[in-house]
Amino acid sequence: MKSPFISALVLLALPGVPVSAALPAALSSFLDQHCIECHDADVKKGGLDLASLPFDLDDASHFKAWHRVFDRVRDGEMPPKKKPQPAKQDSQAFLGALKTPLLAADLADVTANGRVRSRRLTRTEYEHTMHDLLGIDIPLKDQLPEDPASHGFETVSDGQQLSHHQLASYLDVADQALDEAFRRALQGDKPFSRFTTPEQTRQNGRGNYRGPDVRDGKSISWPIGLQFFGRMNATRVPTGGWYRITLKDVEAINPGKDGVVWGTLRSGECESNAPMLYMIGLVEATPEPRDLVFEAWIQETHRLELRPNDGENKIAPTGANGGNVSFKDRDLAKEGYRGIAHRGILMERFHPHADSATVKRNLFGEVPPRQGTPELLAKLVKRFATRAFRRPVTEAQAAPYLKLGQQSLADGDSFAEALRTSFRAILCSPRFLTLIEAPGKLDDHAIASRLSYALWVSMPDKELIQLAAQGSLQDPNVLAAQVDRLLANPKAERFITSFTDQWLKLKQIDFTTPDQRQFRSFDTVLQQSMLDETRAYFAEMLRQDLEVTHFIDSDFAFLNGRLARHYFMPAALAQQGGKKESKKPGKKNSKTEAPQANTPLGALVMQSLKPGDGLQKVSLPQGSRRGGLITQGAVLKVTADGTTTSPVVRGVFINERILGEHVPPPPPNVPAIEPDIRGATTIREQLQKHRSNESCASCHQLIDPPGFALENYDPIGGWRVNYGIGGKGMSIDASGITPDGAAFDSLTAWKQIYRARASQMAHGFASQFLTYATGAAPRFSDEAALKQITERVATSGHGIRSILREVMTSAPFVNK
Amino acid sequence: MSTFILQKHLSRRALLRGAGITLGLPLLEAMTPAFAKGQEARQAKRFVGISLALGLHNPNLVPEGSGRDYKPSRYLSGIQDLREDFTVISGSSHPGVSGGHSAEGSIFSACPNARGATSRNTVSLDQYMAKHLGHETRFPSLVLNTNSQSSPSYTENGSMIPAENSAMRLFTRLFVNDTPGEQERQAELIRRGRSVMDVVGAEAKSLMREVGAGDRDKLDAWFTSVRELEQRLAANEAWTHKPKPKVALQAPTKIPRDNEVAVEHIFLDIVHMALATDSTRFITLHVTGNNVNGIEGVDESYHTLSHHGMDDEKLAQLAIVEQGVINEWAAFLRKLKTDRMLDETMVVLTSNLGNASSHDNKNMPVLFAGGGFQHGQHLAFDQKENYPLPNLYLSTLHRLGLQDEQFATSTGGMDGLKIHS
Repeated sequence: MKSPFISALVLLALPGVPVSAALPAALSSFLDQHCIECHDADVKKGGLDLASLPFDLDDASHFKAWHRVFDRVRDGEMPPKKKPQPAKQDSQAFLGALKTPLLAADLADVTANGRVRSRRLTRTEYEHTMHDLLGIDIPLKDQLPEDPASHGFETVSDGQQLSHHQLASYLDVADQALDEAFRRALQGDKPFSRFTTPEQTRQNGRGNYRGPDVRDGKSISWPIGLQFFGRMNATRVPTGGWYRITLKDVEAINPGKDGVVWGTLRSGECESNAPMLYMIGLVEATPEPRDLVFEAWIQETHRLELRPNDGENKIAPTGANGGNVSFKDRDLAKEGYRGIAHRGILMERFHPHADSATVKRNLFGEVPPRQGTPELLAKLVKRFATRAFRRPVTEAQAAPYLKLGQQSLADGDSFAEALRTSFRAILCSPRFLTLIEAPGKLDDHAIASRLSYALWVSMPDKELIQLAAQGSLQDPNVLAAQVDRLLANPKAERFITSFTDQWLKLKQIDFTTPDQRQFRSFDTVLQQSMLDETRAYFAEMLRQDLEVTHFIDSDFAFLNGRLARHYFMPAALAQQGGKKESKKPGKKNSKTEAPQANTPLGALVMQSLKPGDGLQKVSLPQGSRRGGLITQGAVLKVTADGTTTSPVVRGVFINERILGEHVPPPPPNVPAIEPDIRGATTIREQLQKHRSNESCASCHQLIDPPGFALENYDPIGGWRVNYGIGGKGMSIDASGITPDGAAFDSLTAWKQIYRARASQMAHGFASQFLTYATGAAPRFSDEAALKQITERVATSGHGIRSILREVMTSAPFVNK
Repeated sequence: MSTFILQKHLSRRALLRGAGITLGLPLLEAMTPAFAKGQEARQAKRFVGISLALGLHNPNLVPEGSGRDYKPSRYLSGIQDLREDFTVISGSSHPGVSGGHSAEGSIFSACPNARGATSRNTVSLDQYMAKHLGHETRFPSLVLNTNSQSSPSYTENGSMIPAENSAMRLFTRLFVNDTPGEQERQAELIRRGRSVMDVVGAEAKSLMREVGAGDRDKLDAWFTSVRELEQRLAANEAWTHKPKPKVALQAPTKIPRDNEVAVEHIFLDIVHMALATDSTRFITLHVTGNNVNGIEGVDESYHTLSHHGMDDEKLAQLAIVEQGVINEWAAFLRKLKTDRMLDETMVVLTSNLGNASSHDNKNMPVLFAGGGFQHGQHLAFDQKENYPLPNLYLSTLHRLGLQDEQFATSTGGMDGLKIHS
């Protein structure tokens, strides 16, 4: 087994070879004085033996070790607080003497090899690229192996894998994509449109009846607990594809306190052996009937399921035995149950990306395929390769691909088949599947690709390619203008989704299911609304170029009625508090803090929302406990495990992703804390033991404070003041002390402290985005550029759009 | 061939899909097994690794007492008919492996991932075995998952092998013959796939000249992948015309997606048949499904239950699920025993999580059966200072006749594990 210390040991073993021969004198005296006591061959604290660590910075592992020494001394973490501290000028001198050789070594490597190793398209990038290149719209990415994330992002080259399994799936998926493209180009698209009347929604296939209630010319779905209740057999689709679904005259029956009835429209087999349901969209039924339109990919043979979906709904009895439902002889509307009614469903097949004429042009150009000639084959193969490889292609470079098509023609295949054979190989080429960049300054085409993969998650468009051909992308002003153009394009939504999926771990939203007994009110509508909220909020920050501190605080939020209820009017609290308040007006619930719903503050938020308008930007009243990304349900959910919260997990997340602090990984052999929801002990008490250990404390004083501050937010982002089921456990203490000694007693106070640290957060966000957009985490030599970015955005108020623009015109972005 | 592209493309995809199944290879130089000199007469031939994404609750699993006189734990009391056929191992784990769920990649590779020192995995035990000994069967190995495509099986360059997660498709590939027409079509597709690989390989070579030296590693991965895929396509050509074995097992028609234990059962039935027909000798099955509310007495999801937070109700439901998982493992062993295959087959049940509630990777649950070892014992190691589990892996390699001195961070063969004389 190779270990980083092997070479050091080997050197030690050879008499007469001084290990630290190359170690500059300026360094060795500081090391001897402050470090060696713990970090020598005997004690070797933290696995680090500085006495025998070679000062050979060309070696990646030694570089990494010295880099770490630099960081820890710079951040004042070493030597530890209880040891004698070096004089400030001594530290500065040491850091200066270490920085120069580190920088030189890193720059030498960057010059020779670039800061990024060539990276492969992620499967998300692959799918978007295939859609843009061919004009097709079928899902592809699920058939490719999942991309592992490194430094938080799937785009990072270091973590990417390639095996023959991966190559085989590229062959497969390219086949599927080309099948679809050639089919549509040669046969055109067949229109499909079908209206299902309310009466027809009652048609049952085989099995139990779990369809809607039909009366007065309306199809009505009720809050019935049975799995797949609300499925409609008549809505099965004939083929897999994109469908535009119009629910006619959707109407709320017995709307709730937010003035609507919430539901979900989903698709699936809707059978117990195939229970997967795919979200099509949220249904917000209003008392006033209105049409609702949805667009979604639906798999072959799947059908629709429409049902009220609200954890706070009263569940209606099924009215029948076994797994059936029946509405005979009862009137659920009168009985007060919430329902969603509609007057029929229109389903139309459509193609969101391109019509078949465009697909045809993408493959065959302007010439009808029947008139194909060998000359045309050569022309089309070169044309396709140029687009697929995202840069000019010479005849010679296109030749091997062309040869395959020519061979196919010679074998007697049709022109279309010959073309397809060449295209298939092009789509498996490393020139298509990887971003090719030579060391040094990127050429214009490589810049165009970096730009469009960063902001569109796909290949460059015509305008970018033209600018690249003219050599204009070397001009920072042109580049900056393109950043704005790309962000203004609807394709930038892919960036919002893809980036927040990774940066804020939103794609893990499904990873845990909240404990049903603790969080009975949690439902699918709420989860989907949380995702929508966080993406809308981030998009707004981008649009308005808002200051980076909006990650932690804001005076506005994106809410719909469901979220507003969750944040400001939780069911349990609303009932308890509400009753008490109505009996004894003006008297506060003494045991718990007053839920904001029942204060004028919560009511204010609810009033500012218009029922039926979905997610809306609303002002948060002063004193609100929401604001910023960090109090949003999605972020709070992905940083919890569905049952409990951990200040450590949330603390690491906030530090690394939001504050731009680097958190070292935990040392080996530290037992994890056993979560306990029985209520006799709090996580703070358990952590206290852990933190009393000096070597643990040095990191946990950095990690834990933001986590403590967020303890009032439960695993689904609801407000709580006590732990335990039903809030019956120990009370929550959200106080703490920041690593630099500022005390806070609540999240509000914590925010106060960090709102003043825009520059630190800007540096952190620039690092995150640089990692995502270039495929490599910042290196030692990138610090200068990051510092410059941070300084430049200070003048424009640390806006996040400005940060993106500065990153994409910075040296690390335009160099390999 | 002009209508070719308009045809349904099911079989073409089925042919080339890499998921889970590696195709048999002709004996290549790289694969010549390093057999120990003087092989023992009764050596094991097969290895089945079953891994759980959500661990097993140690207080219900680990028996009191050690050695041969251990007192069966709650989970093991129902499978005492097999007592002499398996060993319980406690207090062991993979050195330097942490990260909770993210340690899944190290279950069978034991690759240290601590301190972010490495983002690249190393070869997993099953793939290492398959590389040296997998050439004799139609499939060098099977990589399976009850639910998703993720797997703990990694190639030599540290790439995850996407798992086969459809029991129906698995059955078809193992036991259902293609029509002669289909076989012909497949041969044609293989020819085309190989010609694409020729071009791709040449392109990777010419790219070498265009990019920096730093990218050589990345391009090397392309070469290797291209070469291996070509070899596999070639091997597949040879197997295409050989009939597949007939089995007395119905193809699965319905997968009870609300009952992960029942899904495990269906997969293990097929695994049993794959071994009995000698279709393969090296298998991993990763159990990852989250739906268990179809099980009597369970109404929460598996993952939620695993985060029990010491809550009694959750622990009770979790125990129902985990007992089911263990019982299925035991039922599988009984089948191998009936077929007199257990002595030649090593079967391990483990997980990256020693404590799923706290995401701890220490004290991994380990049940090890078969392979002709002297079982019927509890190897109880230190719960605080864990014994290196890679030692067990090294012992399995030795049992197959491979002479390796080390596997991952192993320090030797497994202490306390002896071969039946």
